[in-house]
Amino acid sequence: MNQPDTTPAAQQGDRLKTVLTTILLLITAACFVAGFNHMRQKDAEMAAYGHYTVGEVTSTGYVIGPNSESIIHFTYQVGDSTYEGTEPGDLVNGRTRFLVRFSTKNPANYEGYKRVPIPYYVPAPPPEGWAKLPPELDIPAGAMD
Amino acid sequence: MTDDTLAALAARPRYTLRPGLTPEERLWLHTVTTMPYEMALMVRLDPVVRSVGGAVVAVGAGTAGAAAISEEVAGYSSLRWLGWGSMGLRFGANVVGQEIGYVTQTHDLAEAAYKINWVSPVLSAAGLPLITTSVGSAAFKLDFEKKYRSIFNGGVSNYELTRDSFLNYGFGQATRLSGLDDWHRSPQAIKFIGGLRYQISFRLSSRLTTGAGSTISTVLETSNRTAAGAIRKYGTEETKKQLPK
Repeated sequence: MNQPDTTPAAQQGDRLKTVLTTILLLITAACFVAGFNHMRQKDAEMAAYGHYTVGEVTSTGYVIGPNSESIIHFTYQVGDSTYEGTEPGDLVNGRTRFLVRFSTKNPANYEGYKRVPIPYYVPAPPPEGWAKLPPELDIPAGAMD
Repeated sequence: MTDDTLAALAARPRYTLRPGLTPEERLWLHTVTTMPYEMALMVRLDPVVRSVGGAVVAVGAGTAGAAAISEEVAGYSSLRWLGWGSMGLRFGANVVGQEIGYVTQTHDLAEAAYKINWVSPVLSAAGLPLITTSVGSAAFKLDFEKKYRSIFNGGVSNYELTRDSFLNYGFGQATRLSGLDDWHRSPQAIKFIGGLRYQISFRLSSRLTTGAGSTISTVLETSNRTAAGAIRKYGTEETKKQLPK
């Protein structure tokens, strides 16, 4: 009769690790699906209902996790409502006003462009935002990719 | 001293605490609120202080760099296949760790998932040495929000790459050297588990003890890794706050 390679205690530990791995991978799959769906929904809404406005930086932070990085917190105004958003990375040249694209259907859906600063000489956007980018805006090459 | 230097020395900062401070303004506010004004000016402007500080940093960086490279080479030479189980565990732990980190900032599960960098768990699961994973995670980002960002397309600045790589590596190394990573294998941990098993066997049945023994060590190992990671990230955050842009 063959002797087992591992002790019952070790086998139990292996089983527990398998359960833990399975749970983590299920959460990973859920994150992937949630992230992908969020992207598809945002992209579709932006293409159909995208308007532009100004994002005002309110604070900067640092994300704690395996992929640590800076994060910018900003707000933008649509009509009478103020919405909050975040943008990864550091401020570009310390600029605290940048372009934000949002969906008029669901203004909480947004996309930030921190590399497109909005100087103060650009007229303030209307309450529903700009349907097209204002001509005064100087957009650096590749900044909206 | 020139007039310009005198004017700079005499100039009082006019920054006030408000949202949207630039990193320079934050540093200046931190400096002037935690040090005597003249000392703060000396640290910022005095060439001797800056030269000595620079020399210490240069020598330290040279010595630490040589040691880090030796370790990296050794890491590559002993690289081995981890097995699907361990790779899955590392991959999943990385993704869940990122999700938690982003949720603390965005307060939205879907938004947090949208920001996860998928390069980081791949590097983590591959079991590559510390410099590679630290620099790789900082240099290359692949997420649903911004798609591909790297130092090559301007999505990651040189400053961000340097800061995040150094902090990732430094605190990863500090955690390892402090023994926190392997605390679950230390004599204290083994003694602790033994004591707990004895208490369980004394009060409950011996069959339950066998299962509990392995469960405790696994739970302890996982908790220890989580705690070590949290300490490392907290240290990273605190250090970053002190750095000039």
